[in-house]
Amino acid sequence: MEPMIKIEKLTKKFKNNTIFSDINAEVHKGEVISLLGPSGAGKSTFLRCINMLGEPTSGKILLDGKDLVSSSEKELIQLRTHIGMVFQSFNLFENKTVIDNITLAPIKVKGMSKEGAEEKAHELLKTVGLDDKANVYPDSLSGGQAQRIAIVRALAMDPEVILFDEPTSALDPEKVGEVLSVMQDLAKKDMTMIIVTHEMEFAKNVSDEIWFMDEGKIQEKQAPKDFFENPKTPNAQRFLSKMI
Amino acid sequence: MKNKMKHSVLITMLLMIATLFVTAFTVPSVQASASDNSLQQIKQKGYIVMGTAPDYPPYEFIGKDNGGSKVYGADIELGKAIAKDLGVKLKVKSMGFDSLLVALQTKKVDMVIAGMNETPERAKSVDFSKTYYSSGLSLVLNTSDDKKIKSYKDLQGKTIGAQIGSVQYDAVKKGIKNINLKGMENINDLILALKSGKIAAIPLDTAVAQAYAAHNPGLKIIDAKMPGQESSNKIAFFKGATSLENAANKTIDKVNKDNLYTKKFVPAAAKHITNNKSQSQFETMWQYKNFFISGIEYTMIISVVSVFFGIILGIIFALMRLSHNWLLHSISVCYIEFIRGTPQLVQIMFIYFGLGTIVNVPALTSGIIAISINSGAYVAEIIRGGINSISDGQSEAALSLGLSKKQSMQYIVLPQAFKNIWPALGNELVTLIKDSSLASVIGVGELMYQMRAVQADTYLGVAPIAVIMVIYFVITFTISRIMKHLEGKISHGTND
Repeated sequence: MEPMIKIEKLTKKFKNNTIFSDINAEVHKGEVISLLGPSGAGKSTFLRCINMLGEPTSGKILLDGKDLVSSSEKELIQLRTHIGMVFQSFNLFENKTVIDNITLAPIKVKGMSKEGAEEKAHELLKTVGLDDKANVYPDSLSGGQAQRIAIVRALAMDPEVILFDEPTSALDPEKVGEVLSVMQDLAKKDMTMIIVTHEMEFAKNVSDEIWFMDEGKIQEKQAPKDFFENPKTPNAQRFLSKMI
Repeated sequence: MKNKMKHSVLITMLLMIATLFVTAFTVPSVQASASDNSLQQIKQKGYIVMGTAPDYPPYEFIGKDNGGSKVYGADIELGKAIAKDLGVKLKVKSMGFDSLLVALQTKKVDMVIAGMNETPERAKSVDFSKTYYSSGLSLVLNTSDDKKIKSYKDLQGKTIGAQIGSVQYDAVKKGIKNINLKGMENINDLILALKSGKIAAIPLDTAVAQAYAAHNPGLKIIDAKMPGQESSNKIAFFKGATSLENAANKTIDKVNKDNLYTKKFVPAAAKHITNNKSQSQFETMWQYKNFFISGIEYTMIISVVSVFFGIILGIIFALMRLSHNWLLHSISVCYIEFIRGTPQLVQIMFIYFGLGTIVNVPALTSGIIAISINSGAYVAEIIRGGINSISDGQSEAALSLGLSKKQSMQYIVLPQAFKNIWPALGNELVTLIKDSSLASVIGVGELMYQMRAVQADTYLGVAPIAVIMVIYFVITFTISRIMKHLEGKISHGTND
């Protein structure tokens, strides 16, 4: 089967600093990838290059065979509608109510009707148990609620893949579970996901594959069981010994 | 390295713009045309525009007319006579005395009748008609000083005031040694300064001095006894407008033959000089309420329209300044720095007189253009600050959902930015309302201008100032409260 996302020789330099270089990777439909690694390994930068929020210096990112790096502004907008993203700090639109946060892109980008978009938004909100928050503004939500709504906002566009950039790092410990369980449900429904996380248990239980990133390279790509029990590289061994 | 280069390019661009402006407009804008068709043009237009500075009773002053205001005066009567002889209508355009000759050179007016005397300097830039009225130089003093000051010689070592640009100003400056001369634009201000003892005397044309002294108890006029100060009032024309000048001279000949100016024009004008002595100042101000109302209207028109365009310009230039396109960025930086680095008063005059050499823009429009452009630069900086205050995460989230950069700005960033900068925009709005008073220099009938008109008509110095001060405060205070109220309303987001 052709991979949904194919990353070829992706390199990101910032001035004279190489953040990562020559990364090759593939993601198939329905796969859940957890991207692990020490802080500063370039995981988030790498993830943000996948939907071109960060511009790679060179290389290719193919989504269903179409390259994002070389695409025009207009094509890029089109391609981005297929790639959802969930941020560490939620980034809900502060000037919009929850429902407007969710329906903005479906209406403005996909041209959905207001009624249709809202109906769908309510359905999605129900699945995360937050339909009662539809008309409040983000500043009255807890972190866990905000992140669940951010996930709903991404889902409302029917993306092929969702990128998670440390989705639980900014949460109070007791709120982490509610967000992870939403993500777990998505995984069960075969949503394709790439997740940068420090939640080792979650990565172990939910992922199809672990990518271990350090020193500007993906050093290991393994099934979770193999990675956690049998890390091959010394870097991964060191990382795991610190984390667990 | 790259940045340094960009900087020097930027500075060069700024300098180029500055020099461009200067050279474009200092080259004598309109040459005296070889073939003079000035008279023909007037006849084709069907009207002649006369420029004057209406703070010079009885020559020219603003009086009440069915509740509104109108320029009256002996010079206006003369203007009418000339227009009648030419078979055209007379239009009167008021402005500061200082601006009159510029207006003539830039063809904003066809002739200037403003109790003006010919001087060698003036004769370089405009042509003068025959003398239509002669008057002498008098001194206006406080009655308490009439023992100390008997002639111009007694003014040595004293502080005196004169109208900037007037022949009296020059006469005193050249003729009296060791004198401390204060120039003011407006005779009413001079009278106020005299009454409050800041200056000892004002040299004025005798007829004008008489008009002011008659309306200000406690003031007295004496003959200055200064040799060679017979003043001869003449009409000024655009240089080379010989045919028009000859036609006017014919009228002047007629007027002089029958001594119409003193016999007919001055008395006709004097009828309109209001006598308010029997009333309280408050009652007088109330009588002039229509002046102030019309002033408020203009002030509000200027403010509302300028705020609208100022914000549009502000958004455009803020976005250009934030743009990654280096050219757009530089244009915006130049605009902002240039506008913020030059006085608004100068900008207003530049737009009116400078731009006026290319296209004929009415004073009100010029004022609005200048104030909008000025405000745009300040608003751009406020908006830029507002946009920078919004976290990148907001636009990143929008982009990740497939919104374009433009949509992200429109729906997410700008609404939040506006909420953050609301108080600063409120301040800018209040500043703009206050600064609209500067448009009075080019004769826009806003509050400041109307205040001058009321001063000239009532001979009351302070009361009109107090009235417009209160009006300005009421307007700006109301606006501040409204902005504050709206701030509460938009505390959440947009009306989208």
